[in-house]
Amino acid sequence: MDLQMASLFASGAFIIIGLFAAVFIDNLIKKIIGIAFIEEGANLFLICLGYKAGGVVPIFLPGMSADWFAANSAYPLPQALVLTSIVIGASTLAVMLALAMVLYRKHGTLSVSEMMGDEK
Amino acid sequence: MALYQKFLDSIKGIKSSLSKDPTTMDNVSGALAAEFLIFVSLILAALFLRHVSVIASVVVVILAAVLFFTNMPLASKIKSEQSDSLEKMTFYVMVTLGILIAVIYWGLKYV
Amino acid sequence: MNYLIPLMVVVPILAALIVNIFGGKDKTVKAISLVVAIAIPLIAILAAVGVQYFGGHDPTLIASSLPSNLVGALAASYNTGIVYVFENIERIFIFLMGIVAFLAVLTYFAEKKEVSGPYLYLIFMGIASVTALMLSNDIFNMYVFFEITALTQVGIIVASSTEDNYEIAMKYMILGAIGGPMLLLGVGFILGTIGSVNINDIIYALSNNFVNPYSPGLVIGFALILFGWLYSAGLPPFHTIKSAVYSKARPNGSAILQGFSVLCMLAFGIAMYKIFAYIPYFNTAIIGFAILAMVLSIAMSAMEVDFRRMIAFLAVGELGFIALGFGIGTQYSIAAALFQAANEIVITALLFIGFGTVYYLTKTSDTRKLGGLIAADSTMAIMVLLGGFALAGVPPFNGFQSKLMLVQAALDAGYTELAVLAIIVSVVIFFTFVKAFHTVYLQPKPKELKFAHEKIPKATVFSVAVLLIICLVLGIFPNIVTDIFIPFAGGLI
Repeated sequence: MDLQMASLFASGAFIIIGLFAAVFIDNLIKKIIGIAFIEEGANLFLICLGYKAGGVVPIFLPGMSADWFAANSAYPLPQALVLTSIVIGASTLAVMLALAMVLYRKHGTLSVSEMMGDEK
Repeated sequence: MALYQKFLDSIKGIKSSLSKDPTTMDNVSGALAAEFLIFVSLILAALFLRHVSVIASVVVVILAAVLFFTNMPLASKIKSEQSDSLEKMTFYVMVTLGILIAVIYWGLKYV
Repeated sequence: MNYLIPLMVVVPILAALIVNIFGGKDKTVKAISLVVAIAIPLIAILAAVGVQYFGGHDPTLIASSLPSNLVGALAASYNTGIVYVFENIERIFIFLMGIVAFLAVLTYFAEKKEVSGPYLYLIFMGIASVTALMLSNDIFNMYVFFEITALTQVGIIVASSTEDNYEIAMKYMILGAIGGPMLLLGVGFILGTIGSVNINDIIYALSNNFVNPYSPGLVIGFALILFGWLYSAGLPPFHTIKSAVYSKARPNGSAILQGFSVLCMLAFGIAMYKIFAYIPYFNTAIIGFAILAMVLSIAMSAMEVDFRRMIAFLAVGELGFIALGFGIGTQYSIAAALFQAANEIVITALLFIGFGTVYYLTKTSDTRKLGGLIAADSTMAIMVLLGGFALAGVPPFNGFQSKLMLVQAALDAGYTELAVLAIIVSVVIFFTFVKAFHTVYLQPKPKELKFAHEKIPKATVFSVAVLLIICLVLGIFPNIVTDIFIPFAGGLI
């Protein structure tokens, strides 16, 4: 199995574990950890798309021939995109943790079913 | 006739189940409107099948009508499934996600 | 170069940063916010139709300087940067959103003595991101701005200091954290299959047979983007959380939030239509979700006793009409959907702000404890009633024109049952609205009802009046917008 395939499987595992945690775990902090897993899985998936086995960094240096560069460089677009989406994931995570703090102070518990269950 | 009687009884059932809660008395009309809306629109949506097959739509409409009549207070059941509870919301979100991916992926595999 | 196009996004972002810095100084903040809020619709009116290539790249110029062995290859036609496209349809929606935002900010200033810098920051940031969402021709960029919109929506609820707003915000974040990454994954699958995230590039690659349109990557990408679209628009299964979100914000906040949802829905809906309309049963899937949205939300709103939640469910149900127009998929029906979307922004803003005055006066939103408010302010009551007529589709208001257009389009396309369904749902909307209006304004006033404020601020009355005038103008002269929508819809299919 090559590196790209292994990373794709890892990203799938991240997403599935994250979805499982986000749906089934009752503790709010653990739910948020699961959600972070989903985001990171999506990021890992994106970054895998630009991978090229034995490729070089996509920076055109003096002395490289254009044909060689085109044949060997990694695809740079996913890397640029992932940078943005990591920032978004981090800010989402920060807002969620802040809300979790407020909710813990209000309810004195981290159990989601007690805070946001049917009777609430 | 028995079916009609059952229909009337079920409407009385909605009324009594709502009036147990003293706060919702004035909303019996709303519950009834919701009940009829759901009933009629689901039947109409079943009629939509006629674009695929007329016989299938006839069978589904009759089946749906009988099923809805026999389970009459639909609106309150649907309302209880759409509460603000996070568990119910995530459940339906996940079910939709699963159905969408499964149907679209395997449905289009053999186009 | 048309510098006004990027300015539409830059001005609100700058304003957001500035009002946040000047947080404590009320007069400065008010002046800046009002000027910027007026400037946004003005820029939208003044800007000329055009395309903005960020980073100065212009594919036609780059193509002329390419090495000869690349000419005619797929990569040679790709855009190398973000592209904003500004046409008349974007002009209409950005203008309407700007007007609604201006009126909402005005109402906020009138009802609150001390203005909150962060709250205004969130409003302007949200406006900037939905504007970028409408303009952008790049699905990844759309995803980014959509996530920013979602975060500002959460922020607006958190800043609203209503009961249980933190719980609803947390629920929205958790569900959004399932919906958002799925949208990103869908974008990733398309990127992996086609190698570009620009919509024009994707269409070019698909229509020139560079990729198999039914390749598994594209198909899964479609499923995930459809799911993300449901989340962004608040169609089922996200309709409960969306309506809860609307009902937990301040009335002016709800008006803006609903505008955001409509624009997100339109931007992603148009993008999906451009890319994926070739997929069989694409229309059927959208019609299915549209029917669910209309029926479930309107039935829920009929059973609701909290009038803010009721209006919120009505607003979500109206989104179903937009989706229905997209789903029928003829030129006329898509134009009707766009028209309905334009009306939806204005009418629901009217209702949220108008009914919000009831909450402002009494600090309760439970219809069982309300009554007799027509004595408090009869002008506002009548304007709200007319707004409700516009929502339900009573002539001569704009809701009538767009719903008539939708029903006609459904009949022309041979979907008689959808036309009947749309009419029945409109009737129930009318019933629900009139019932709410009766309990809040007309029935005798309960003895224990206390007033928190005596009078409705003049600015609020002015805002509702302006929105009502827009409704009336669009209802009497629908050609102002339909002349733009119909050719645009023709270009889509």
